[in-house]
Amino acid sequence: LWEVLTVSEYNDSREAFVDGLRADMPPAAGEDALQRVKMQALGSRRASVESPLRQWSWRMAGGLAAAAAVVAVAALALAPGQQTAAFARDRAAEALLFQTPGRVLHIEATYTERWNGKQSKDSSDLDQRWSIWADADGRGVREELTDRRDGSLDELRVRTNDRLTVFISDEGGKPRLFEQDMSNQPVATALDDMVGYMRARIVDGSATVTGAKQIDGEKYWVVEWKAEEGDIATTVTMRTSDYRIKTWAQDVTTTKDGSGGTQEERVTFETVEQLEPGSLPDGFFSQNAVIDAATPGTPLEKR
Amino acid sequence: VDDERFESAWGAHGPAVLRYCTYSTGSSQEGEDVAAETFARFLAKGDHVTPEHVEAWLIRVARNLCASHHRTARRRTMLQSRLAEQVPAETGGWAQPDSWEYVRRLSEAERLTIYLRIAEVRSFADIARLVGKSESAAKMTFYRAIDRLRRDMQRDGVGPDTTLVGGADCV
Repeated sequence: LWEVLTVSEYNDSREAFVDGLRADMPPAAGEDALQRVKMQALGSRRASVESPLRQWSWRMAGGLAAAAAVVAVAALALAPGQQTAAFARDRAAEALLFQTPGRVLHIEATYTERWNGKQSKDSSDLDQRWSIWADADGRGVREELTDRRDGSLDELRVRTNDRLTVFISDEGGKPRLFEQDMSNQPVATALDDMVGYMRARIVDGSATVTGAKQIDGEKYWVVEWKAEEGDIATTVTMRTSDYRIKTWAQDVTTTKDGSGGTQEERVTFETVEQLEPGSLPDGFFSQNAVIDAATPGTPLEKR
Repeated sequence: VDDERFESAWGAHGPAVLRYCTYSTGSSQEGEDVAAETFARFLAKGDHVTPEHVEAWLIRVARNLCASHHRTARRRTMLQSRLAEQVPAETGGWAQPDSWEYVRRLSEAERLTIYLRIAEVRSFADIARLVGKSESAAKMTFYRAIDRLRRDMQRDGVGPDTTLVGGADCV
């Protein structure tokens, strides 16, 4: 039933809603927090402020998440009669849950990042091979990033249980090895989150199938998707038979330090396979694997 | 940026930037990281920013970093959810309210506008100056975001105001 309100009543109820949101705002920052932030800022007098952890976060999960997200969007776009959250959930789950329990998911991909803009000197372009091994039973994730130009190891990351260990071969001209307690890192109800996000994208009509192409004799849809206030354009090729993602490309138009520019990111999935756990060497998902790979003499930082 | 300029900017705008970043990221810890990055950038590249534009510059950099954080977080949670037990979100002093689940689905421009209007009690003219829009556009962004939040929260029966005012749930 519709409840009919006068304009005045509507405005009053909206103001009441705003008052409720006011109570949800974080409190003014305490002195301790302010001091921490200030010290952190003062300690970061370096050109690049992209933290290794942020890079890890997005590279580790980027391809799979984006693939799942776009699968959900595309499925909805292709099935207008079934545009329901339940349908989106099924499709997203289908994309995510293709890993068999007890196996190790192995993904080989390439990753490139290029910044076009006035600040291009601040961001070195990347052209990397990106390898991920994810234990289906949640025992660990190992990620290797190597420079495709010379095959050298750029980064090695292992997350086991609640601990992340990272080796970066060159950060600001020197190697870095650190580990971090991840037990407090937020792990959201991702599918619920994505379904909500997808629903909004469907409502605003930002995901569309723009064409089809043949790759290696198989048919793929081309799906384009604009999100985040129109500043991210995503283009995906997706196999029509099972909705698997072949390529995922993202152009991010953003401003950096007040000047305009475009950041281009590309992930191309080359192989996705499932391995028997026994096919990997002992200690493959261990913290020691990272420490052993680090440049000798690199101190281990603990965060 | 020399120490004097940094201290001046920090003293005038540090608390508000940190609070906004906490609100936008939904986490005290993440908010601190993003706020620190914002001021690190000011330290490194704020020389050209005139004093009257420092606040708007900081707000825009923080906004871009928060938007980047949300892109990262969306990707991160997808894989993590498959590989780890679910744990409560980090709060570190600010417990995410029920409304935050809906707030995070907004665009960064909407989150910023809501923050400036509700938490900082800024006028629409002031918000327009900080975000680089017209006053009417700032006002429209705010009320559209509020109405969308309200509609979504009402649909799910959560939030401070559960009175139905129409929409898809009303048949």
